[in-house]
Amino acid sequence: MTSIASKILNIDRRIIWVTCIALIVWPLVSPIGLPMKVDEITRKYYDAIESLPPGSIVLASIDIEAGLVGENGAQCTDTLQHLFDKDIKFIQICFYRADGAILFENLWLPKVDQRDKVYGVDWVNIGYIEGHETAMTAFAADFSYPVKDYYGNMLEGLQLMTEVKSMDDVDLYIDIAAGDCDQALRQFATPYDVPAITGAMAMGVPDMIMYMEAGIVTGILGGLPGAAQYELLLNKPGAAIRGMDALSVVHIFLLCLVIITNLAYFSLRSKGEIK
Amino acid sequence: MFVEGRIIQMLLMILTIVAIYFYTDAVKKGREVTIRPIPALDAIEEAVGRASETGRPVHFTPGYTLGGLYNPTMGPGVMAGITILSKVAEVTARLGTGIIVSLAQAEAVPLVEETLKVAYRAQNLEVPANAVRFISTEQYAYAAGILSILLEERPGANILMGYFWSESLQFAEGGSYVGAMQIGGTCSPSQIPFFVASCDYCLIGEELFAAKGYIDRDPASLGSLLASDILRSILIGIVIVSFLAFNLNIGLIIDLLRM
Amino acid sequence: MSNILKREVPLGLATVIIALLFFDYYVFTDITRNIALSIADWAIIITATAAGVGVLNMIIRTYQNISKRAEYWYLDIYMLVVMVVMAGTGLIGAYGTHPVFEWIMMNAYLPIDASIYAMVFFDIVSSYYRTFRVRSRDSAILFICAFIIMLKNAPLTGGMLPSFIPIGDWMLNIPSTAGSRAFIIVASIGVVAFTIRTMLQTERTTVGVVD
Repeated sequence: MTSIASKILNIDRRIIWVTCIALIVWPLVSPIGLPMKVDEITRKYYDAIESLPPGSIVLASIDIEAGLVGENGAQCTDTLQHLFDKDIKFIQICFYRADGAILFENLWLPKVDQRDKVYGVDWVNIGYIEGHETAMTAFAADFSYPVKDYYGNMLEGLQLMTEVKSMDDVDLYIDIAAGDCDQALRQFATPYDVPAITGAMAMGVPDMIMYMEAGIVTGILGGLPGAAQYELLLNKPGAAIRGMDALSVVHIFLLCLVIITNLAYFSLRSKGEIK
Repeated sequence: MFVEGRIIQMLLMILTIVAIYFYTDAVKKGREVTIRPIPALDAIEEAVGRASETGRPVHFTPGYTLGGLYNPTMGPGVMAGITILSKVAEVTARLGTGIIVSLAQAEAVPLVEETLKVAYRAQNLEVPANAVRFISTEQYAYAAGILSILLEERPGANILMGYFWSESLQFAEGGSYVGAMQIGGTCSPSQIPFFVASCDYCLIGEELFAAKGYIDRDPASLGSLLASDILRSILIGIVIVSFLAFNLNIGLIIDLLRM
Repeated sequence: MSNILKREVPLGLATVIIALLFFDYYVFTDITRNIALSIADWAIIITATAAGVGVLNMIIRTYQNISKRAEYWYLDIYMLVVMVVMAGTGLIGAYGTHPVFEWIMMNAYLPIDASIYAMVFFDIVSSYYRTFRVRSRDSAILFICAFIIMLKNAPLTGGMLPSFIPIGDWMLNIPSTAGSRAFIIVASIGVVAFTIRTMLQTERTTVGVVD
């Protein structure tokens, strides 16, 4: 028993990694179809877009880096599809990183059904603007500040950009970014009293909850689980729901691992073999 | 004329500016300031000593920012990390230990080189060759570069002080894998748990900004610390008053706080 | 360049600009608002220029490594070639629309970036296994909270054991929020103090003065 407990406490980490990989691959190859409940924060994210009347104008900052494609990718495509389906006009802009604009154009946009929406009338993609929070300040006050969109068109020639001059004309702000949403919330949501919803990494949800408690953010998508719940609400199962089986299985494995490790630890401690 | 909803903020800001000026002046004139012991900063000497005994270098990195040092929320964290580097460099110069500083901001390179020069010249030494390494402004290229340094150089001490993102745990685990003594510190709330779990010592939040005053006993930093304490006390008072006012529905105080 | 140009002028400019931006944030006048927006435009130009200076600095250092045949100097040549190709193709036409640029971004950069980030999972797992031992009362409380949150987040257990959801939600909404707020407030105080010290010119590390 002692040697078993000692072995449990000294498992080669590579064995744990290989086990995790196998447990992730198995449900992806052979889906289990585990049940899921929708969180309140996800429901509020969905309701924030669903409650907007057609023709509303949204400022979207769908700006994630390449590394977060797995975690936040489904949030981006599902949100875009929801906006297109609800006939909501939106302006897309990136402030955090240049590859966010490239991923929007090459990864997210091709995956959504744009229906009969017309570029320049129903949506505009401004692309990446250098300057981070300073650029946000300037843009929030004057939407014509970037001058051109991602494709090189003059903004003043786009019909949608003649309808909005600043954040005062926007009905909702959506931020799906790697982190540091607080810069955007400081510059877009709070000064102009515009409701905001955010798509965050799962580990960023506790930070975002405090903005929700303060009434600055009205809804949050929390990583892959949030995106999967959002797909349930949209009734459009996709990549996120497929990944949830793997997430469940690995969660349970890690919980069992830590329980067994602690039992082994207590066993050795009770015999005085470790402190 | 005054922006609605910001008058109380403005008064607090003016109070903070006056307090920083007043206390900086007071410390310059000899006022004693007592800072509670910060184990993570005291452990720098121990960490460098251990690295020196094993003949391995010390690795230091002040973290990653979006947009370099000009990022308003992350830049000060990195600058605070570079301040702590001055202490690390002073000890490595004194003990003759190698040092490697990895950076993700090109504009921080001259600042770090100057920091190392000042520390090493005080010991009549030259800064070791290739001590300052600018990796990349891309987050995961930076992470991969540092993991490579940890695995190749196998430092005896891994000091992570600044602003970090998700790569923080990669650095901490990499340092643990090569057997380095680790001291971590960040003002990023989501990464603090990882440092607390993986590092031997950890600076949490404000302790990172207090480091300069703790290490250098610089009057400006100490005065700023005292003023920050005043501001913190006022904010705690406002929180308590707001809590009572909103629950007891005292309209006058609610209106005053919303000014 | 004398110390006055290198240090005093930038510090003086910083004092004036910070004071002006503080004033504009709290007191609304057309003149200061226009100046503040103009300063924001200049800040963006300077940030972009600094990025370019950083690239130049990197090219110079890379060239020095190659000339000295430093360790892995051939990888520096590879990096320069990739940088020139990406910069060149990125500048052709609208940003990021050149086929070569797109191909490299989607087929090289994206998979590599995603892979490095995915490695974080393995580090989390090994850290979790190595450090998550109930050694004291505090770590026992931490373990119980983490246990409940993980059960809540895992869809299987969240769906089959719905009683964990309100407990997990309470933990996220109350104690976790309180802790996060405290961290954000103190970190913000630190940033504000740093800015005020820069304005009062008592913080000189930004201009390279190291005591």
